[in-house]
Amino acid sequence: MSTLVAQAIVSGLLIGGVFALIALGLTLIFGVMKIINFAHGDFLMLGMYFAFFLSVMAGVNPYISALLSLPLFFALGWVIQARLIRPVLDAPENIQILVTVGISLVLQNAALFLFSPDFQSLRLSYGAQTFSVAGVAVSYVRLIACVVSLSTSVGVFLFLSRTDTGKALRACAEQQTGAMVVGIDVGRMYKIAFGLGTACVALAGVLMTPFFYIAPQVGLPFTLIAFVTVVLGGLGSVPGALVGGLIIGVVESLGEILLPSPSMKQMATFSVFLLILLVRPQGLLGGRMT
Amino acid sequence: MTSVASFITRRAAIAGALCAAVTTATAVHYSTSAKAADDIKVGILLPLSGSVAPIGINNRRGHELAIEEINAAGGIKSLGGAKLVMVDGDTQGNPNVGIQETEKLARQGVVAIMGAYQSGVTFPTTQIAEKLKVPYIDPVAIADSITEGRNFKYTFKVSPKASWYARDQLNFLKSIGEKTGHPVKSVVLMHEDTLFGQSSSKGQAKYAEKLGIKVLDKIAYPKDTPDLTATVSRVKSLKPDALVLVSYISDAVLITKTMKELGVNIPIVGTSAGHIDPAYIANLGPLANYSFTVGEWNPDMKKAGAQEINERFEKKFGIPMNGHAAETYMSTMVLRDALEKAGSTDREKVRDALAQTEICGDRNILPYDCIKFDASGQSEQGRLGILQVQNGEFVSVWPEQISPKQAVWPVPAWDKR
Repeated sequence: MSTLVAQAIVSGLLIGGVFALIALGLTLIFGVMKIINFAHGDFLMLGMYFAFFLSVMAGVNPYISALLSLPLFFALGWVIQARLIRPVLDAPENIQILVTVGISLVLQNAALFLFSPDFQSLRLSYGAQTFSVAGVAVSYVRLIACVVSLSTSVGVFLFLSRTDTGKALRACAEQQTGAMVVGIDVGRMYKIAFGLGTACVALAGVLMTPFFYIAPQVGLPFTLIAFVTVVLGGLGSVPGALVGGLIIGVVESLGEILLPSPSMKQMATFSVFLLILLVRPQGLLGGRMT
Repeated sequence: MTSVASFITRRAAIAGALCAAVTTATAVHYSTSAKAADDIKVGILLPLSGSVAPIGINNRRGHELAIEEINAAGGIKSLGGAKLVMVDGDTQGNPNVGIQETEKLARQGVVAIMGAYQSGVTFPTTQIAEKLKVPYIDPVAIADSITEGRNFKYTFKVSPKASWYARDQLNFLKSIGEKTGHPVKSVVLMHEDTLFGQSSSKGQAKYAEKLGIKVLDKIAYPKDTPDLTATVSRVKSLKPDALVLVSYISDAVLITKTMKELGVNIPIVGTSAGHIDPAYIANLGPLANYSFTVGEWNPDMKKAGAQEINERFEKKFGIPMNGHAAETYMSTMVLRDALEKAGSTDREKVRDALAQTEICGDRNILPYDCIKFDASGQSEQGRLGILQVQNGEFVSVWPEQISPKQAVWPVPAWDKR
């Protein structure tokens, strides 16, 4: 039983690191411009297809695709912010939601049309290789995904706390009018935030391709998990997303073996979620971005 | 105004007269050929639009190929070489639409109806057919309730019962274990938690108990979940002799990969659905090897003509024939047989002939001897085959009489593959 619990905790942490990176993208976008991005999971899906097609058609290693994905998806986020989100920034929330839901529908259906509804997987020789620590199996590709995700999250954290641009982003998040008054180009900051958020989630998608399947609707469960993670950690908080992701990963994983049925694992997640909302409505590390 | 109106009337009158002349001419033409043999209308009731349309359209291909072959071979001989023609009824995957379409097909004078793929549509439409006294052949829908406890006279179910999938999976495990000296004493049952998974798993537990195989655990899991490592490690710690799964394709792929990661060296026995999907092999590559699944049919089954039928199917439609298409093909042959025997298109006579159906041996390409209906209309010998992935292909391995290959049992450990 103890090995079983250890295995559950380890695999929970491994997938939790990826959840953290996905949630980080969402919380950045929300923190800076207070937009709820329902298309978040679909950028994960695009990241997956990006790595998949590069690997299948050009033989590019998915970890090189991970590097390539960053500027590409940053640019995509930038353009989407400039062309689609900006016009509705001052509109009521329901209009903003319609825009992001619309983007989600377009992306999913475009993927259905272009990539077909078939399930795809990358078949890598090392995709299912593992090593064992005290009876606990650790998958290399999952470990890499977790480590890269966590390092990226720390990188984003440092960027926000140490650089001028990062500080400007935080200023926008905390006091938009104040930021404008001191001469920060708020529109530009928004584009950076959306670009960064999109790049984070797409990177998570690329990192998952060695061990996960790819399909046009693959993003949906991850969007849901990202929302829970973000609220759990505190809306707009970067360390919150990190801690929240790891907690959700472990709770889901332990829920699989400790509850009567793995079907109830989401119940565990949402129970923890409700509990935190009751005790600490602002989320675990809510209130501040860094 | 009046002149324009009269002009139109005159023109319409001329057009009308012409039409009438043409119609009469065609009618004459048809009535002469009808003296040789009237076409026989066959109702095909399937979802041809809506979300399940791709499956409905593929089911229809089996009927289409069979009818084409019957007509090419001279039609129904006892009816003077009458040709079969398909009349489509599109259920849209909806029971209410299915009922309307059934009534419409009956009014259009079809000799029998074949359909309707989904159990949820087949159940109410067989009821309507019974009321209207139209023979109804069910090739694919599997729910036990279609033939159980209804005493219908007009429903003939070629497909096996849903519970027989579980029966044949467990029968296979029992027999392969005894034959190879690596008996299956215990299993873990794992299923996705919607109705399909739950009902299949219930049946598996029942037959396991009947055969004296111990069920160590029954695990339900949520479909499309990001990670199942903890669950699979629980399966590993229980040390069963086999894992019986009910999964759709996404979870089938994820669970197999996770079993490899954790080194769970036990055979996977899938329940059709995700495990029989060609995408299972396409996604997993060599990792798919040695997985078992229960299946309605496979082209390599030792039935004379099965492979040729598959080749003709592939040539016509560009994809291999699957289990559903094999069932719709055979069901059409069952109807042909009944029409030949009845020598009439009278629905009562066709019904009586269907009740006497006995299509045996190589005339039946499905994995059992005779298609023969019991009093409830169920094909009583119906049975499923077991397929195993070997070298990246599904091959039949059970029952032995119709299987060209031996099952690889026990399956090699993941690190020895």
